[in-house]
Amino acid sequence: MASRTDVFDLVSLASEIPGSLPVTLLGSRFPNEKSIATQVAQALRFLDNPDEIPAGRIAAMIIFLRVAAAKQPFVKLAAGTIDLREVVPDRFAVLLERVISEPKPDTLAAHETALLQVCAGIIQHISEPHGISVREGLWLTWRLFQWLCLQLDTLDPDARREGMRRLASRAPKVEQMKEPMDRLDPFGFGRDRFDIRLAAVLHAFGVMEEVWPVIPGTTLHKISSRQLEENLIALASRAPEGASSKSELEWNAPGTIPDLALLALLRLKLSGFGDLPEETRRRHIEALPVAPDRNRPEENRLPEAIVNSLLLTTMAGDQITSEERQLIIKKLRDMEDSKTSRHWRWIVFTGLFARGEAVLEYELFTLFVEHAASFRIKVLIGLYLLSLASLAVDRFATTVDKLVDAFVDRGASPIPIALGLGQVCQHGTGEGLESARGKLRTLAKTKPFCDDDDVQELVRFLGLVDDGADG
Amino acid sequence: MAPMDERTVRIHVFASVKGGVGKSSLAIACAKLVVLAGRKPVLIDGDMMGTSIADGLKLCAPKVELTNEGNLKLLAPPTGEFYTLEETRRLRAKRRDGKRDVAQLPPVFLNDILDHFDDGFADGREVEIPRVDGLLWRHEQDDGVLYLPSSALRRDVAESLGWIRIHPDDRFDGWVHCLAWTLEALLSLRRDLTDIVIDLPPGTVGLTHQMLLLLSSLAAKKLPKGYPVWNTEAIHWRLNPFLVSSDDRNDLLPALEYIGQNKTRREISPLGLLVNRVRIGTDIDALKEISRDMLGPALGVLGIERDMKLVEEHRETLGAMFRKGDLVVDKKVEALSAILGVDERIS
Repeated sequence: MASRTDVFDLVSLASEIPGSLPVTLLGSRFPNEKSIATQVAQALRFLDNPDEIPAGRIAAMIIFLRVAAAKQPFVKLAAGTIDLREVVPDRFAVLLERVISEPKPDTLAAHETALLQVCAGIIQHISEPHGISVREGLWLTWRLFQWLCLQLDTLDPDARREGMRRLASRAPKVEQMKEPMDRLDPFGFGRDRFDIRLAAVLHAFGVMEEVWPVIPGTTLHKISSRQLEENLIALASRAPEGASSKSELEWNAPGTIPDLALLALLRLKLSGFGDLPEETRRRHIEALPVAPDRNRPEENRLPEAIVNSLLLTTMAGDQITSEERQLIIKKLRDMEDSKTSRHWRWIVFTGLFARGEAVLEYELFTLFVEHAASFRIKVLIGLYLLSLASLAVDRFATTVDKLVDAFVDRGASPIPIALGLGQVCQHGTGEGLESARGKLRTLAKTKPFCDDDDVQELVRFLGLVDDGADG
Repeated sequence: MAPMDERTVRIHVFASVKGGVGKSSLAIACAKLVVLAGRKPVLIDGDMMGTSIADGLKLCAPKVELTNEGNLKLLAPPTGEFYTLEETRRLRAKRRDGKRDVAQLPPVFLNDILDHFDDGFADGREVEIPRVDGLLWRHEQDDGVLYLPSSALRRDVAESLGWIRIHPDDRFDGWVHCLAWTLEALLSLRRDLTDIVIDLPPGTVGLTHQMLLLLSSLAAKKLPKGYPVWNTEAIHWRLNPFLVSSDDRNDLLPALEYIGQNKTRREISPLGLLVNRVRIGTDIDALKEISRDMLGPALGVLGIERDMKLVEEHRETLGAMFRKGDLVVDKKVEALSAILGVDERIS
């Protein structure tokens, strides 16, 4: 095996299963510039003719192109140099529309589900009477399907079409199929059941924003477009598909089309939740878990990835109505008390407090003290203090003093409080601004603030000391 | 001068830390969008450091009465006529090659108007208001924008640099003082004027900062003595100032610092940060994150970048404006209207 020159091709092929598996090979896809150009040209060709490409390969190509657009955007092709950041978003949008539509007759896309079911039947048959694990069975099914696609690709077009027709006709009828045991079990596939091609593409759109490496100091580019996002919104607004099942293979994502679309939308556009119809938003808010730290199968739980994105969106979204805000507050308060629920309350309530929900003030004080050591404290405390300066300026100075004392009592650094006051100095108005400036000036002269370089830089920048301010 | 009728005047100001970031292009786009909104703008080319919008755009100079010696008569009423582009080019060349002691040859530039005021203030006499309404240029296509370009000729640039001196009130320099009176002349002679678009020189110290201070004082109705009497209710000023930056770190960091410090000191009206010519699809959240990182742990939490707006590359329109001599207002340029706040009520 080690001496074979096609090792990369073999392993790549094996990883082309819908889900997160293609991600594991990303590193080896970027050995040199020439190789990337070849792979990009091939990936673009595949995306332009998706009906003849297996779903797993399409998903792998999406993830590859997204990472390539971030790592090496300019690619020299035969037709000239292209900028992937400009080319790829439109290709993705067209691809999604193609996959949403009914596949052309007599294409691989039209027969893919049936062929996969034939493969699943074969694996099931040869593993009897002792049987094999679900995971092994699925793995062999998908590998057999990949082998089958390779064989079909060697045939001339007419023979290929005829071969696919004949094999597909041998797929078991729905009523003859066993209940699907897994999200990636072909017995559960079908355009009116779980559309694996659409699901694979949506999954890839969701996962692609998570996998490509952050390159420090570079400006990043969204690989998205209005057309793509509008289609995702439409898909995410579809009626719920019932309970979502998981997979033994590397799926690691929601198991329904609307949830997959929502996750992809939120990853591409953080404020995308607000773009959904109000009814859909409300449904998702209602589906927030009751006991986030416990696995309660009776709950129709939203996948955690969606919950996190949804809650962050709620904090940033202008489109959320007052009624929805009240519903979110109620859902979060009704959650079983746990570390996760308090963490969510802290983040979301800070955002809602900034939008005028003054009633959250005292609850937030406690939550801030509890999360004094969190890495998010630097950003959130500024938002809290800015809101406090606006909503309760008469208590501003004393609340800051109490926060400092509470942080110190808890053994946490109170420095973030001073940095948060800086935000009030920058964005505050009127009395709140003056109060923050006075408080920061005073704090900066006391320990531990007077020994902290960041605080001293801040007060100089804000002109709160007599020397060092740049005129 | 007679008191003015009550009116609202929007002032859109474009400043930058460094040159070459597309500040003039955005100022021109802004003026064109004001026309599209049904209002009347004048575009003042205050970037007097060696380039001129008159050279970049196909602008025709106004015909101005001349003295027997061939000098511009700035006090003469408007002729209502314009030179052709070719005539304007020839006059520019003649002015370029004229003897240094021959002053104020056509075509007329902003420099001549400032010079007029400067000479008068220097002599300590009451300055006669020039007929600025007859000194405004127009585009070959007559696009509805009134233009007041500066001169890119070496002799004019050298002279304008000499105006940078401290005014007796210790707040604004001579250049700014003269420009303030130019604005006064414009507003009193062109009652149809609704918007003033000013393209400032690059750099946030000196002229640009002084001009922003002046405009902020104007909006706050706190002008010092010696300035036009705008401290009345006659004009409702709507100030819309921008700092234009690229997404280069050496440009963006000082831009953020300038905006942050001035917002804190509240001497000048809050500036909008426009990051220009960014690649299509640039993620604004990523750029904000980089901004916070550049500012460091102490200042990165201040949220200075909060109101940053991105202007995507417009290679076919904004980017080609000075090659083609005009800006075609296509749908993409129209979309800038919201970013530039052309239609908003601005305070």
